Amino acid sequence: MKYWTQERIDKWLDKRIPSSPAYQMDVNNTFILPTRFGWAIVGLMSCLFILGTNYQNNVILMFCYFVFALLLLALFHSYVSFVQFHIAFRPIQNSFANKHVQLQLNLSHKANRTALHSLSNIAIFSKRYPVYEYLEDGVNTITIHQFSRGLHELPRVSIESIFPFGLFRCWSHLSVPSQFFVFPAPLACSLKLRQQNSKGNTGNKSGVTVTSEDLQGIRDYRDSDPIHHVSWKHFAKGQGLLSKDFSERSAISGWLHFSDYFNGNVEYALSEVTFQILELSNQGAIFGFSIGKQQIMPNTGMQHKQKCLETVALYRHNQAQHNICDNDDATEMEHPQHAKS
Amino acid sequence: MQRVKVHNQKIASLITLGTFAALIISLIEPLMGWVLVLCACSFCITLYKSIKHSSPLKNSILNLLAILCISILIWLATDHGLLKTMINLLVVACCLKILNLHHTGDYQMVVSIQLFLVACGLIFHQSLLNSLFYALLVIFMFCALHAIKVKETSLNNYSKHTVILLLQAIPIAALLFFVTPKLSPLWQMPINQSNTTGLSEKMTPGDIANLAKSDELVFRAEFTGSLPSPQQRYWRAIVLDEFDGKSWSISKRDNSFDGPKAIEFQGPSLDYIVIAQPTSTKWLYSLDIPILIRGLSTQTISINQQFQLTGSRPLYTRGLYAIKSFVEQPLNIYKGYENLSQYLQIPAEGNPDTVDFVIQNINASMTTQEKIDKLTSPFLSSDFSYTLSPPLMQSAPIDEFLFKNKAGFCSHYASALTYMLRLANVPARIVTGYQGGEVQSGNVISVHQFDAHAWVEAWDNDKGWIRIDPTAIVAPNRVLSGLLSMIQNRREFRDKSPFSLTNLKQYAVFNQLRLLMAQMDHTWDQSILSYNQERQKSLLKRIFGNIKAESFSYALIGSFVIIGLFISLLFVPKRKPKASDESKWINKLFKFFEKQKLSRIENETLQQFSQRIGPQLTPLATSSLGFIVKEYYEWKYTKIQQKIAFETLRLRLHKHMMTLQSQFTSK
Repeated sequence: MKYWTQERIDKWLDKRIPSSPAYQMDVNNTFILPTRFGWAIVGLMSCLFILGTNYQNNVILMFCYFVFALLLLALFHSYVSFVQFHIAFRPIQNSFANKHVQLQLNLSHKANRTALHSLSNIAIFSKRYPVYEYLEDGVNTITIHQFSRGLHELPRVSIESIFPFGLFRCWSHLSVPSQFFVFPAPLACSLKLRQQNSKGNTGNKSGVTVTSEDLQGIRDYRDSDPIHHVSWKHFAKGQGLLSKDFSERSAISGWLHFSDYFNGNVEYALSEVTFQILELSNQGAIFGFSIGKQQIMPNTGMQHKQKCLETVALYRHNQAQHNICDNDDATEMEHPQHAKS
Repeated sequence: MQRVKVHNQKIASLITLGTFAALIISLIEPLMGWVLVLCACSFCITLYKSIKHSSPLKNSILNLLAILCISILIWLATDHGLLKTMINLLVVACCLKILNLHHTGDYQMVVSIQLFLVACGLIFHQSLLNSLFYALLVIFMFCALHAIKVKETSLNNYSKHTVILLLQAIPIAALLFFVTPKLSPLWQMPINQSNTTGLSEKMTPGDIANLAKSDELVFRAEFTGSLPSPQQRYWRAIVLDEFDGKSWSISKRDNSFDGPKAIEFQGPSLDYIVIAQPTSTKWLYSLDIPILIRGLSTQTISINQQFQLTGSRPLYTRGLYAIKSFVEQPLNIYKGYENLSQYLQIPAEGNPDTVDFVIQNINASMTTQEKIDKLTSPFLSSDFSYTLSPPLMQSAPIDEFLFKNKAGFCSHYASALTYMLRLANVPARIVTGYQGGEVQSGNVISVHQFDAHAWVEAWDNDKGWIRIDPTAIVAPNRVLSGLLSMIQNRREFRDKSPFSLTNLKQYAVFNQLRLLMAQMDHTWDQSILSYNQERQKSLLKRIFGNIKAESFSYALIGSFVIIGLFISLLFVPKRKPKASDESKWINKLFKFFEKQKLSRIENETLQQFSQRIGPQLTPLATSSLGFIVKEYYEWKYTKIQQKIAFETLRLRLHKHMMTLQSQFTSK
């Protein structure tokens, strides 16, 4: 039942506030209701009315009407200060399972905002994850949560403001359009490379050579050089960026086989493979990657690394799904405590 | 726990603490002693905590403390009455909550309680000064509320905004106040059982002397016509007719009897309204003989045959009623209906010297007037003196007063004379009330507690009840120009209440100031405090011409429309701020180039523009455009902008502009 209503609400929200990379707050995407304190003040106002009437005390009645007028004005001020905001989301960067996903957004406001509303403080939070942060003008980086590996979409994030006096809460549920990958957490292990893929094909016309790296000398840094070849010792001395020149540039090449790492635990093996992909890419090695039925031809560079990591992230993703659910339950448990405020 | 994060914490907690302290001081009267001690403790602890950030106290300890305090309050509730207990409870809650000011919710709860306490304070005091004081407190409370949730900024900044926001609410509140229908009390509320000073229903000589040490306002009377002469200003409140040898009280006998069907009043009358301060008794004040024109809005007032005005219950809030008094009408209208024998009651024994004195001086053949003259004659001798601090007279108070001490306050004189008159078989009674009052702004008389007085009424078969004021014989100034006219009394008064503004009466400036404040307070009383259903009706009548059921709804709808307009005025999106001088000038520059077919690409800055079109211009034009760009950017993006107005820059740029123009025209 709860799930069903949640689904209805989500559907309604999708229609009401469609996904967009940027939002200008306006009458269509803003909700407003009194906060708990606001309701308390409404209660106070009724008590004042009763007190003032029963004691025939005009000053108390005046106070009561003053509180009413203040509530009315706070309602408008709350709304007007909220619709000044403009929020633009940046695409979410891919992340690793042991790292927090970070959401970046740009907060700006209308140019003709009055000084009165400039003190308005806006906060972002998520119903699913324990995040609550006040936003600054300009780019904000919000650390969301750790995700399990896979392709993810961030659930709607909410922004709220209780300016002024905390009597009314203006809020909106915004959907972040971009998808992002979460790769398995890298796990250090020893390198196991094969000369051939499972079909006995090296995939490398030049043949596979595995040689150790011998330091030949120092030369000027080129853009194509891997960063770990930079001689930091020289850089620290102020001699500029210099690269250590190795005798064999494509030092390692070969095929990375998932089955070599698989030892009963898929996730464990995936973590180790991730580590190897990162290591090999860092060393600028040319390598192919074979996982299950999928084959990625040997190559090097950022794109190749990305392709391999995505494959790892999505490998038997449906099986890993229940892990995500477990994770969600955990956050659901945390959430009620967090929401106490 | 970011959601509950508090901004500007230090200032917010100090403001909250300040308003707390001010509230407690203003509410000190209904608070119990131990609650005050608790307040002081929590104030000190919170002050320490807000200066040095320390960890929150354990909630369990606070809860235990709260349970303890509530049990004490319940235990003491019967002694203190519901209202007092309620206020104490609120203060205790505030005390305990203020100890843990850490989260937004804590601040909000403390402010809610404080707002409620402000309302409680307004039950007790509604004068202009008090209302302004509480308004100031409310401003500070909202300032704290504002501070905890806005961005970190200076106190100046958000306090200014708080005041603006609160000021915006005032017109709406005022409009609602005048237009919303005034209701009669919905149900009876607990009454403040405080022992406010005032006349009591039992008078032991010396009691009124205590009242004389208070400069609290009792009531104000606003006259529409002429003022009563000083000799007429006897404000009757309570008639005391039973004497037990020491003190006078109201007899338990039923004083009600039928009067004549139609009473014809003679002589001039005075019309006035009385605005009475809250008291703990039901007795109200009037000059003789009162006829009620308009009663209180909260309760009914009755006039009994002793010419006393009585409310149906104590006046717990300021009340306004209108009276017509026939000051020259003799008090004989109930002649023949009254049972006079009760006014001859005397205790069986006591005061033997006085009894002897009366027996020696009075014989049955004397007329009432002769008896009165005879019995008041001792007061004419200079032996008797009038003092605020008479010696204690215990065993036979009247004997001691008449024959030994010969010094007393009005109640001593009234008591002695009434007793002697009764011994001489003249029906007599004591009337307590107020005498005199201070005339303000021509037609208002303010009566204070130190005007409390007691006098005697004796029955004469021809004239009815005649007023005899023995005090007037001893100290005529007391009656003509008030208690403080006598230097000795003034000194005594100053000793008793050193902080009273009344002490400064002899300094003209302070007296002016005091009178001005009293005047403002009276206007406040008249316009706000006594605004009731009838006034509302007459106000609506003035606007709509007639009073129908619809006029109320029209007024309400009209006021909502006005409020709507007011709010839209506040919130209608302001037009874009007027273009500043420099941007106008820059736009002029771009327009000029546009005319020369060198238009600007959208959102191009001046610098980008000049770099782009530079090659197409003559060298001189390029260099002058370069100068313009350089000078403008230097002015716009450095601190020079604050020092030099754009006007001076424009003069400099104008030269280059001329060069540019000349280049194009020559081409």
